[in-house]
Amino acid sequence: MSKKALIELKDIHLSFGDRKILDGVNLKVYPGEIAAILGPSGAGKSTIIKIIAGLLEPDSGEVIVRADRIGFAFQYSALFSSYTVKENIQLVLEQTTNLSCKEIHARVDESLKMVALSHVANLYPNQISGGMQKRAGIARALAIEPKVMLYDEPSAGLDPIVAHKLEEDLTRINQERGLASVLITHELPTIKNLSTKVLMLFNGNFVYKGTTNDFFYNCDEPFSVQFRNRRLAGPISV
Amino acid sequence: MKRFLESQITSLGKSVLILFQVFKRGFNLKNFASEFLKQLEIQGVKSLTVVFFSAMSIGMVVAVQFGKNIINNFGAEDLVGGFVAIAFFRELAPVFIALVLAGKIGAAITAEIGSMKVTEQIDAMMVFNMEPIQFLIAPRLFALLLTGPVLTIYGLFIAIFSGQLFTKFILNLNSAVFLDSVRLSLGDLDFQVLLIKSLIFSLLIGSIASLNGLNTKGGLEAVGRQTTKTVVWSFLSIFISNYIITSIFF
Repeated sequence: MSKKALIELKDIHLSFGDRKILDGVNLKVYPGEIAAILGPSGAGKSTIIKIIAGLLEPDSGEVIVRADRIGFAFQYSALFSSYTVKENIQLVLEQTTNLSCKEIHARVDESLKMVALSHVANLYPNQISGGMQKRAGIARALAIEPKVMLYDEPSAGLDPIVAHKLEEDLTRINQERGLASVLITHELPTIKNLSTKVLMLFNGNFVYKGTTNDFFYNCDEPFSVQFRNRRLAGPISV
Repeated sequence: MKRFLESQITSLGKSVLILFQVFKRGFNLKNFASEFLKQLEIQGVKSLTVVFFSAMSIGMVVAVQFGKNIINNFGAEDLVGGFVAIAFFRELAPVFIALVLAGKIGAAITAEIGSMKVTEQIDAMMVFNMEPIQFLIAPRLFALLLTGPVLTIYGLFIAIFSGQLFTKFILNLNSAVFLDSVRLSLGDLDFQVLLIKSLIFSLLIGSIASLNGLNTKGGLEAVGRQTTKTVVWSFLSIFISNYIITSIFF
């Protein structure tokens, strides 16, 4: 690939006390790619995106993010509870961009329209459903027009139709804007619909890296096979 | 025990560092102003009732106790107001109101920031270039620096006024004698120390509450733990600093 990777992790190590979480993780995500990171709970998937976002410092290794703005769609939306849905997006735009007041209003309207939330713009996060909160969180992250986008379980808790629509929109936006995205999810349909490549995290490192198509149809790596086929028997103990 | 003491002292030290960070990071005036005004209402206006009843009850009790003893043992009616005023100006009002504020405002600050921490709102702030110290801590701390002394003075007057009212009705003490005694027994230093104490107590409550909120780790039960910690630490720091300030000035 001729373009430079927008996200690059080189030999990342991280431990919490005696517990080794990441043990030499390497990752490259290029513009237009959506890399899905899979793995059992507690494997360190969220830790990786927090390292990319600069929220956690690795013990060693190099983190390169070639983007001035990073969008982060949090697992539980992380909307600011004392601001309305509209103000959440507005505030973030004020802090991260140099847009004029008029441009900010236009961007807020456009973002809310994209996730079909214009009708709840003036409500507070606790006045809307969990699914709406999640979509508002994604709209807030995308509103700043980042070059790097991080998704933590973007479609968990959404009904299948809304999830499918959202995944279609995110795929389109990723292609149109040439974003480098990292996706964390346990939902196999989301991986199929959204990601372009799959990385299977186990025991602190990736045990499988390949295209989404290969992961679903050609991969025989035991951890990935167990995960993909939702089998109880396999190397991952439940 | 040694480890526990070390961790407590380290945490108190970090609370003080929060203060320096507030000044170091500077302010975004627009965000600061709107959040500061909101906090003035939450911390100040919404605490008026609790301070009113707390101050009134302690004012009544102290005045009646002092009044009975002074009148019965010494027959010195003209000293009752003075004793009550000195007790309230120098010790009771700043300490008692600070304890009320630690329980109400300090606990609320920790619970709010702690909930934001466990729901990743603080992480979201950092990702979107919003410094939590600037956006959350500074407006709360500065609002407390204003509301703390104002509520202390408000509580002080409620306490002395209710003391005067009760000594009049229960002990038949003349109001003019009580108020003259108050006026004659107080000096400028009493008022200055009252302000110094309430400012220092507000600083301690605000920084301890903020630190404990930011240090919340785990689920929602951790928010409860941190809130309790804020109340306990605030109480201890109020008692210790009160002793130090009193020793310096009196």
